[in-house]
Amino acid sequence: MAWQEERIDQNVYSQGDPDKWVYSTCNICSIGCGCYVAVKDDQIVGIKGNGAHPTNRGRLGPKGENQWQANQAPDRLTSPMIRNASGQLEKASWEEAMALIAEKARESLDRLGPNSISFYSTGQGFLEDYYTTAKIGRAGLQTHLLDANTRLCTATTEFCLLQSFGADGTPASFDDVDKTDVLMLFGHNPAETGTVFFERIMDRKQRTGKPYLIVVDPRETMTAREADLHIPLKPGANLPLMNGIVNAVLQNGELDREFIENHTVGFEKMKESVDGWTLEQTAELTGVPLDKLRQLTDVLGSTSSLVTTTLQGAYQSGNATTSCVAINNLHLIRGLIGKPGSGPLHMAGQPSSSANRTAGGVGTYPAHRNPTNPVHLKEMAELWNVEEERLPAGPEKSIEDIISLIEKGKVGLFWNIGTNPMVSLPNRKRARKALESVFVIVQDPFLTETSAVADVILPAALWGEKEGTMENADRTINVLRKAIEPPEGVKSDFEILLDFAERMKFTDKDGQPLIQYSTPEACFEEFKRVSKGRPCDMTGITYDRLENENGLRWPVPDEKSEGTPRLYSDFKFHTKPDDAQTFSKDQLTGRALTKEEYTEIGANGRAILQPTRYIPPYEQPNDEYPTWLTTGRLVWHWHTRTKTARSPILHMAAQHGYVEINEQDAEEMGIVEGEVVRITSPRGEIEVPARVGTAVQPGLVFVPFHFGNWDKKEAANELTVDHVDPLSKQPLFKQAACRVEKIRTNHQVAAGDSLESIAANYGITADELRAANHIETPYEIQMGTALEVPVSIINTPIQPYLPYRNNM
Amino acid sequence: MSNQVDNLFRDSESANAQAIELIGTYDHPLLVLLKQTLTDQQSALRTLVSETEGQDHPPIASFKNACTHVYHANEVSMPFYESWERAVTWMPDPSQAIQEKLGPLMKSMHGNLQEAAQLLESAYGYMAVKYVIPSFYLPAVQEGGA
Ligand code: SF4
Repeated sequence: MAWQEERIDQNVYSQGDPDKWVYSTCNICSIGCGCYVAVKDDQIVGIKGNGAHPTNRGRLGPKGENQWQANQAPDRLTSPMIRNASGQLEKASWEEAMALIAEKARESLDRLGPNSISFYSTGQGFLEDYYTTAKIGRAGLQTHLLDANTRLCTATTEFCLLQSFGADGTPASFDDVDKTDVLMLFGHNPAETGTVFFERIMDRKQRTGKPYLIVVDPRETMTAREADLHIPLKPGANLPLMNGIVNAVLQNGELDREFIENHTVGFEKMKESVDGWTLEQTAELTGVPLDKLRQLTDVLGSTSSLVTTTLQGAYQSGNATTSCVAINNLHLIRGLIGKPGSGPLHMAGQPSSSANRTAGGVGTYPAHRNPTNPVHLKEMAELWNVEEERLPAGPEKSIEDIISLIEKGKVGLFWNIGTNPMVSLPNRKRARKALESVFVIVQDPFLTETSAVADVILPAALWGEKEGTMENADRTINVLRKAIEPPEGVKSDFEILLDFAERMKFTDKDGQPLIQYSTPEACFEEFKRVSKGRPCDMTGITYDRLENENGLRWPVPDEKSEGTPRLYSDFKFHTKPDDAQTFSKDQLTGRALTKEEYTEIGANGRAILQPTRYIPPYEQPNDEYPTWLTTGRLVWHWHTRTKTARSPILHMAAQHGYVEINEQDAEEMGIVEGEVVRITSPRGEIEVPARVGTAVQPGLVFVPFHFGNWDKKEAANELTVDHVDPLSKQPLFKQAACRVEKIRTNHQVAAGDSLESIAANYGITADELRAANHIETPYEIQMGTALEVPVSIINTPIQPYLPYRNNM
Repeated sequence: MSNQVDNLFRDSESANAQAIELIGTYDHPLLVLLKQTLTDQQSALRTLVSETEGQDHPPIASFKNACTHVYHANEVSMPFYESWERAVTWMPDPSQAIQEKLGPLMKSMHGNLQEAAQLLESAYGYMAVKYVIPSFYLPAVQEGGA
């Protein structure tokens, strides 16, 4: 086990002991910490960590500990709502709401055809929900428009794995992190996202000095502060960095030639693509000093074990998939994969985004089946007992493609499940306009910003009120037991989908109902049959085993298997054409290859070294918008705060949006701490307080994306660009251009005015007024002097969360 | 192959060649990607035309690979084009000069390929073209006929 000792974190608010503790898994991030839900008087009253779960040994982070408070929030939705003729949402019965949805679905099918209905789901649901969405979507509605907010956070994980290894499933696991000598966190800030995972890394580091920690991030994040080597590269420079590293490793001959020869294809083309990426050129494009680059390549070229994790800094940046593929290339040419302590560990963001990919709720067909391979669709048709011609084929469509199809009038119904796109989608003005033009169903426990575009709202059950499984970032399947019944009037996503299937009278080819299971566990049993023989084989898993053994990593091909901590330990990859999850894509343009082209690559079980050609960021600062904008997360909140803002502790810890500005830039502009400034991009503007410091480099600002209330001007996604990575179609949230402006009023100094009196008059301090005007001595203000006064100053102190420092 | 389908592929090829020439040396990153895709589409179109030209009803297997290649290339070229259109609206770029001419060429290519897809489906049947042409080009799926 990773941790030396267990530590049971607990947060219970009840008079007297809970009546029972119910087995569960944290439903916030992709680490998948084991926990128990405290129940008293049929209410959820708290949570405690599961000391026996190897992922966390009882530990929970702040979001995990406080998630249950959303269950008790007074503003839970308890009735469906329908938008009436005058545009108001009004309460309706389930019968009315579901009948209307079925009617609109039929209308859309009749008017626009099967590909006119889109499910846009989540990474917070359960595998059983996603599988059901896939079955209803593909075999029932015959739609190819299945996507989820996982597209925004971890689509790149999937596509970089498909390109290199033929199928989804991250090769290394958390166990390898516990063993490796060198850990490179690439665009990954676990100190603020997966906090327990970061504690796990630091726990070992403090005991043993290992691993040597490399952090690649333009910001000096909490994670970067603990690094042995921080690489503060310029925004958009991930691929130049990786190309420089790979070229240096090649030049220095630090290769595992035998591994390359026996287990890979494509070496020459890959080599050619990085030729010329000298460290000098890399230094110029990345802004990383040459000596740091040398240090980095020395470590990466000589280590005998390496785990590289990636997350949003890689996935939401230019050349996203290609940068992650370059990381795979590095592991392959050094033979550091499939061995203890080695391999890429491409992470996930949300608690079950990996489950959505595995179950076929997004992109490809269930259990890693290729939507362009007739062999796989034939299998699916047999497994579902439907005609093969019912199942739509071809490359997947992403949410940005769906927005574009809505704009062209080709979508009649958009079903939004457990996500809040009106805060999370890039360039949200465009997205709002599109969604206002189509019939929208919003299925959520709360009214969110997306309710503004909803025609029907369905109140959904939360964590603790339903049963199912999730898959975390390292392929571990965990079970979540139902702790209590949902509030009256509320249904689980699973029940809602089953109701819809029944109303639509979807049948198989024998005229039997398409969906024949009625419980999540029965659904899981069906999925197991679908997964048999596929990379994610779950044949040996049962709900009981998941509880008794605290999660199992797929594949688990039979009852005796204890799961697979590490993929590809036999160096056999899923690249035989009829095994592969796709026929892959052109690494530069994202064009889906044909079966013939894929066969021609000749991988046949070997990994593919892809060429990694660099394309500069699509939007870069210019004279009008001279500053880089990047967006991201805070330790205290998750996504659009639907749950975390309902926890008083988390809400109090971070109540406002803000912008982080480097102290040098703030000094030059005379911006004072907390001053509300305007950030403008070519797409919109926000007005938020400034946090001045050194976390961001000069010329870059950072805005957390959690905040998006329509009444406030603080949504990062008013500014972001809606371009996507060509392969994963993940939006490039991390790089846009913007302008920072002060919002000031002028004050003419009158007789008798002092800095103190003027400042008091405007509700700010004299020091703030002095800093805003670059005044160093009191003698610089005289009658008639024109002073600039910030319109508003809001201090936004954010408490750091540093549990890993306790042992230091 | 019917003359009509041949002509549609030929027209696409000609529009494609014009689009590549128009983009020329403009170096907006999205145009670089678009040009690469169009070049890829162009070579696949050439192969496709040479494989089907003058033949009455060639077996689908004889042109399937090139045909899928063309449609997959077209499927990615349109989003590049639309992204570039938005990008130059947000930030002036010298390449904006070609927008007026490039737009109609992209639309005509897409329209021709869509029309050809419909004709191919009528000629060969839905199941024969299902794995050759992506579903958004096929009327059978779009109109509920699958
Ligand atoms: S690290 Fe993630 S899974 Fe674990 S408690 Fe925190 S939010 Fe939950």
